[in-house]
Amino acid sequence: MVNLVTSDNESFTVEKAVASRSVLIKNMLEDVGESDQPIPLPNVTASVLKKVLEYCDHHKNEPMPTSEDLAAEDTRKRTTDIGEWDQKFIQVDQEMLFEIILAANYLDIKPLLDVGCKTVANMIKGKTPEEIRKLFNIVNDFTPEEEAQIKKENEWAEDR
Amino acid sequence: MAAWKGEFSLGVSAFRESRLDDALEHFTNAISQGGSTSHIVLDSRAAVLEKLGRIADALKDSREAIKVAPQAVHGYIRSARLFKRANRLPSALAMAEHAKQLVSPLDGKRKAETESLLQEIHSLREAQRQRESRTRCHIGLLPVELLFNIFELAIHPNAWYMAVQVSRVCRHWRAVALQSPSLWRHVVFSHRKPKSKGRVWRERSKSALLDVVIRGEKMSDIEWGDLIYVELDKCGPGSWNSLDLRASPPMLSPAFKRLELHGLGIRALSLSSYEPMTLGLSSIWHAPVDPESTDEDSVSKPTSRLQSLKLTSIAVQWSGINAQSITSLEFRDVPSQSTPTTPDLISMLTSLPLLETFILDIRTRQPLRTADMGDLPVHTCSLLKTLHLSGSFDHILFKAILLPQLQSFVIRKNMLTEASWILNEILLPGNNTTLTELRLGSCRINLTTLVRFMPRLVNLRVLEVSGTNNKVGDLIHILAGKEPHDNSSTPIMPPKTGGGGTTKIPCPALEVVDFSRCETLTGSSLRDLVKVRMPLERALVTGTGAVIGTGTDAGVEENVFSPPTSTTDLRPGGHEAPVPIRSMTINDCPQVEQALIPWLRASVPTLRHAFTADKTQRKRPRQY
Repeated sequence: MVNLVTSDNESFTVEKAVASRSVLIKNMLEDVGESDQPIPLPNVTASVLKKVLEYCDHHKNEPMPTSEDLAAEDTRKRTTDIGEWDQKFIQVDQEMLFEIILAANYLDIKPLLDVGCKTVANMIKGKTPEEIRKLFNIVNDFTPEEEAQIKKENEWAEDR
Repeated sequence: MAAWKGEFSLGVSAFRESRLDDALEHFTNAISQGGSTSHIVLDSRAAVLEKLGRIADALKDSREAIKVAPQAVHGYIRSARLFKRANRLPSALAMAEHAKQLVSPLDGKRKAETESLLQEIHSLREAQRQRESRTRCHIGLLPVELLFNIFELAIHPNAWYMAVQVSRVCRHWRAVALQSPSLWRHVVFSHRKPKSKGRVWRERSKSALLDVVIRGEKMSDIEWGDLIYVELDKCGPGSWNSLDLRASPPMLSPAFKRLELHGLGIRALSLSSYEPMTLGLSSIWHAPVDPESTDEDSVSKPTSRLQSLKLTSIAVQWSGINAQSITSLEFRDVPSQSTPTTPDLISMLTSLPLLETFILDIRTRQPLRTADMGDLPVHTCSLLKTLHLSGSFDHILFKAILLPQLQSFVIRKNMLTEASWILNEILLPGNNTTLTELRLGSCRINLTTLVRFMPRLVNLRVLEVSGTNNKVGDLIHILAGKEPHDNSSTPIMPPKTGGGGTTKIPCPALEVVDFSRCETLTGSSLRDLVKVRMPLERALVTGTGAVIGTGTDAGVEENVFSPPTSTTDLRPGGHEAPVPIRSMTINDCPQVEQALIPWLRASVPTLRHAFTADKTQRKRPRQY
């Protein structure tokens, strides 16, 4: 078993197979060897780690993606299809969604990072800039001059 | 007694009588007469100010009260309540936490008050957090590389325009998008300022376009020329992945020649002419030879990277088609003058070793010219998985080729050869398990012969028999698991375990059917087909008491299923249960009773049932 301590000082004891879905933790365990020392995760809060561990637990028996798998994925330019369980798992509010993406990036859990990024990509697809701003609370910070310039590109997006 | 105590007592009386202004005056007098050293006087004035809604002044007194008596719990509780009212929740929480530590366990009233206050503050903080979370820009927290990663996923050849959309969201997104050439590698050009668009995409992609579609329909000759000969010329089209040119013959022909100069290293090429035309394509079968190469073999046998070719309304020299790398060939609207002969097709299909998909749609209704071929040797198209033909084809074509991997076979508008003859040739014994899709549209079909093939198509998922006035019901009858020529009106029930004479349901993997434009098709056969393939428990539920029309007595209530005696393993001989029908298309089938449609809609996830009211607009089935 592995003991993980979050930024808000909560402690999680999990199976090694579950924790090792994170390449960061896997490498730490390999470096440290057998030890009871808790592993601090200063960039992850308890609520996010709980969710991440739920994902790791569900996928613990799957083979870890090899570098060849990742390269093949890149060349296919990656479809945005998401598995059924993963889709349900990632149905969270935006705050949690982006926290999961950041945690997956920090913990180096590539498949989870992919699920998160694909979910955001699917949210963006087919939307206008205004719709995207509204969806993610993004402020339109273009000056009127920039806006006028950029507006000219609008009709190019109409070519289908 | 100290002078302030008198004023204090008057203040307390006034407060109890809700004379808040008087109370305030008395407490203020008490404080000025020396009461400022008593936390009770200060707290009392804070209470009056709180009631008067003067929260900031109340907080000042409350703070003074804590200074005077840091161990007294009153000040903290009042401060917590005041901070809560001022929506300063972190301060309110800190004060309440202090109060919780100081309150005596014996002081039940204050203890309960403190707990309740803490709970309220926590609830308010959570509500505030959720409110802020909904309005906060969380995506702004992502580092640039992750934002880029998301953009790459959202932008692909079919959603190339998302590069424009994301670059117009805000300055940060625009900077990320414009600094990423890989987001600008796919593009569609039309008449909307094609030259400047070409320049912008060339610059943003760093001249590394991959997938390009040019729709010349409304482009002027000048715009077309500027785009192709100026902007795209600089992009080195030889390294493109795909090119899709759609234009009139006078635009298409020179543009293709110009692009050839770069040496077409393109993997997928689609050329569509708005009118029939002829195009010399010999160069696309041979990639340019490196003049500096000393490898003699590579000079004599140049290789093309072309894997997929689609031509629409373009006549070609069939005998010249020779690309060893081709996996997909598609010829749409083949002009009449370019109709291939059967030997042309046989020769082409058997000379392309990697061919997996072949689609041919011949414009003419005339049958393919068939030369006297004598005894043809039989060739194997070992990788061909998809064969879609539209036109009239001689069965000699199918006699001369073996298709061991065929998965999808579509034939339409075939007037020459009866469909079952063709199936007889392509479905060789022991070689018919790969077929998953069979579509026969407006073809000459002898259904009596066709039904014999059905038991052999064990992996068939998609079946279309459309545009015929033959009795397609006979075919569906077999697919519903009935014995041939069994005209009893009792629909088949999944046979019982151990019972003798069980009939295996043919095509158990069938899930998509299309019987459009079949004039004699009636609802009863469709109902049988759907029912026999339903999961048993569902069939039992929907089968009892359903109002289902039949061909003769539409709207009559009938029990279409007799309940089985056993509920386990009802499929014959341990056969796997068939797959339920997932999609059914029955457009323009006038004999299908309207009363059945609601039941079909409830039973089949995707039902297409359109009826063209105007008879003159309705496509007629072929008469044979």
